[in-house]
Amino acid sequence: MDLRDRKRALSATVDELLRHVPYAHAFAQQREGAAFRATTRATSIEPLDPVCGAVLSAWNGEAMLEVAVPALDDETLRAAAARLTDLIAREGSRPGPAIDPGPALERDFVVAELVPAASLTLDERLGRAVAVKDRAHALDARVKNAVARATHVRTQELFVSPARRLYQDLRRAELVCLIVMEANGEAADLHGGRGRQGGAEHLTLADDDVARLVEDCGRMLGAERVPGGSWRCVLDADVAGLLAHEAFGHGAEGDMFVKRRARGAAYLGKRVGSELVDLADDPSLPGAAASYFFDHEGQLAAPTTIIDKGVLVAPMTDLVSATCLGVPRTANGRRESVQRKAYTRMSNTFFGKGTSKHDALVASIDDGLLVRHARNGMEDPKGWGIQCEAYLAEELKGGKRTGRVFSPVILTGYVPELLESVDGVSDAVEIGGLGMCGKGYKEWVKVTDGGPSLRLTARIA
Amino acid sequence: MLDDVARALEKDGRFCAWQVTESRGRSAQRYQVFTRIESRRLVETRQWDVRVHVPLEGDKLGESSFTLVDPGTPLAPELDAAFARARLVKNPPWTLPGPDDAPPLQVSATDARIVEAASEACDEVGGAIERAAREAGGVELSASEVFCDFRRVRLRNSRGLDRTREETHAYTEYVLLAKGAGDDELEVYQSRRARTLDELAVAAQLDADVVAVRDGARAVLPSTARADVVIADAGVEELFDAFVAHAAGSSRFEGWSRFEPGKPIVDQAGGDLLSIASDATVPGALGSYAFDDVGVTGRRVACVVDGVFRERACDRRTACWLGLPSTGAWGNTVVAPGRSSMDELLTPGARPLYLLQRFSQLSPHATTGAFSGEIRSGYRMEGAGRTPVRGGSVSGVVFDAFARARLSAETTVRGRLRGPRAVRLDDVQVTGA
Repeated sequence: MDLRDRKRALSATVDELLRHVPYAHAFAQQREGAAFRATTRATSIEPLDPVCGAVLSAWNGEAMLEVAVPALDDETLRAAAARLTDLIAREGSRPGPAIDPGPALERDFVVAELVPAASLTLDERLGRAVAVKDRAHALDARVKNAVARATHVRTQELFVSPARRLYQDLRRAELVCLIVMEANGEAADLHGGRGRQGGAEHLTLADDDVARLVEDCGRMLGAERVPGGSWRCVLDADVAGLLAHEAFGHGAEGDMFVKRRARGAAYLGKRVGSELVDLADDPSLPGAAASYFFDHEGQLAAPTTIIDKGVLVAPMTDLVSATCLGVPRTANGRRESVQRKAYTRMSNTFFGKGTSKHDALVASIDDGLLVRHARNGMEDPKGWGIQCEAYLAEELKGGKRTGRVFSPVILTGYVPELLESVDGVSDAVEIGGLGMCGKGYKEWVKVTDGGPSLRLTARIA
Repeated sequence: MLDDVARALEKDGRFCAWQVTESRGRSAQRYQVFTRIESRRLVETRQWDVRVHVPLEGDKLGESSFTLVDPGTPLAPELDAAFARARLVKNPPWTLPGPDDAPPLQVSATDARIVEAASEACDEVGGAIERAAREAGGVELSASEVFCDFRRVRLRNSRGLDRTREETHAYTEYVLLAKGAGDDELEVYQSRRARTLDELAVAAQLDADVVAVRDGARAVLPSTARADVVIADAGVEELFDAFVAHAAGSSRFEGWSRFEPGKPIVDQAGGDLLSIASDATVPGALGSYAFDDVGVTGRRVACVVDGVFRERACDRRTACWLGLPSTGAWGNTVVAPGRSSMDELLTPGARPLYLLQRFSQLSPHATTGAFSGEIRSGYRMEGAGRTPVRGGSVSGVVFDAFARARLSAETTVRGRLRGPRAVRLDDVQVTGA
């Protein structure tokens, strides 16, 4: 189905809702795609779980009332509108801030596929995954299980409000490899890959990338834990990205400001890191896997500067948080799907680049760690605590790698102290492509993060 | 719709086996920010999941699946596409269960209040949270979310299996705020999920969270040292996850399970012997089910008994591939409690002792068992007194730490875990000041 064909039906539904509330909008989503998975012992070609449906939203002055349905036909939409009208009647109108629907706008946006995924046969797409899996095994006999997954996904989204009729057709492809190695009773695993907006041109993983993955995983076998304490570190772009996301990505989500769950609300305009620290969220970043043209509440994508030279500048917002806070909207109102509520969510979040060379940062560490391969993290915007886990750290002595590695590596600390300690930033920003982000422990959306390499002092466990 | 799909599959000679599952659900969702209802949502879901098997040369099996969300979708092109995909997938063979190897099981998995009036159930839970926070004094509710879901699932397959199950799901998360020193403010975040409102046990949880957020106002950073820790309450929920991963068939099939039948799961060094079961038959429990995603009846599997690995919990596919009995998807994680009381576990020894109740996440790594958690709330135990701690982390490897672990006699239910309320791990790394 081409979602553009439902513009008129959604518009009529919104018009009907506007008879009962001062503001209403509708959002429809259809997602389809396929995953080609090759593992050591089995393969699969499976369509991704399809998403198809609409959510109707009505603002009664205090609350956003919503009904979500799993279909887009006229009858279903009419029934959904009737249910929402009942809910509006039950809840009543409340005195509260008015929602500004913004200037009128009607546009369609499409991500181009250089090589359309569908132009490759099923066999060819599966072959991309099989080749990566086989390459991993060929490199090292200690690889006990290798999983390569090539995925392409198309997401159509349609937003209709009193002022806007927006459509976007987003295409994304990724190839991810996970390997498990075992030797002498010790096991380790590591994953890597790439993901970008576009088509089958991104269903690849270079041989060198697979080789590095296998080499690093092999080095993790039997690796020691880091002696806990304060360490001078260089974080590579991958781990710096995780820090960006957890440190002041979540901490600058506007809905957390509304709930008084973000300490950053009291620090707007104040210093929260060293002058070398710039941080932005940019859903309009060309080609990045989490980019989009408008968010799920009809706000056009544009970059948000979160930290400028160490000073906290502004929060990201969704429609309701911007309305409640009386601050500008940013394009960060996103849902896991139509079945879930919109929150303030990140898109592509990254530190700004500096002037140093990565190798120079490494060479400047007399006794410390080069931390690589981000695994996961958890935010604490209220307490400004942080936990970032990386798979691997290489020991640095006298500015050189000693060959000794530690795994896993847990970076914790007090966020402003951590960012204040940043005293070196490399001159190249790399954006990853494999991230997903939850709100707390649910509400998963596609994100990316990245940055330059950072030199800082961190508490490591 | 399900029967229409089943009829089409019966007529289609290309498939040696098939399964159709119809899922219909509804969800009521309530969101509150301070005293204001931020959003109310009503959600309907429905989908039809189809799985097909295709015989291939050389005793291989082709398999594929697809999901229909629109009942008006023409079926023939979907079946053609599934056939094309399945032919390219040359996997070891496995079979779907029939009525004889999947006897029906009646296991309670619903809460009548959610089935009959989900929105009112949301208000009941959300209102209770708001009242408890208000009445506690010195504590403020920042936000709460309550979901009450109902789902009906019917499964048919080519071997004549035709089963229906109903299940409810209740979820809540909330944040409490309390004043700290000066203008400082602290929060405690809590999330719980269960099949029933009773098992959600919000009232008891709120009591504990009110204490935690108040004490957090005077919390200090723990000291960096080797220490003994008692991981309790919310912290214990994830603690056994690596054991579960290594006891499951999938880790064996993928070649990284460290457990061998008849052998100890850790090099025991004086701690309590672990007994771990997957049990899908506990009435009203979150991990219970009448049948799993391919129709296998829920059952209890005693995977680890007195520290020795006994039986692997295997889903149908993995069981066929490994030549082991099919026990169904993992159910509830049931861990036998220990002999020590909480008071005994909290008696300090030579090393510093911490009671740690909340982490940002602990998540032991499935493959290696390595764990690390940023401490969100806990106490340093000092004789008769205790000092609240917050920040820093605890880290170790569960397969080493459980060699001398002691489990509490008191039990808890958290999510899918039914087991000891606390576990004492001696000589692990605490990193802080």
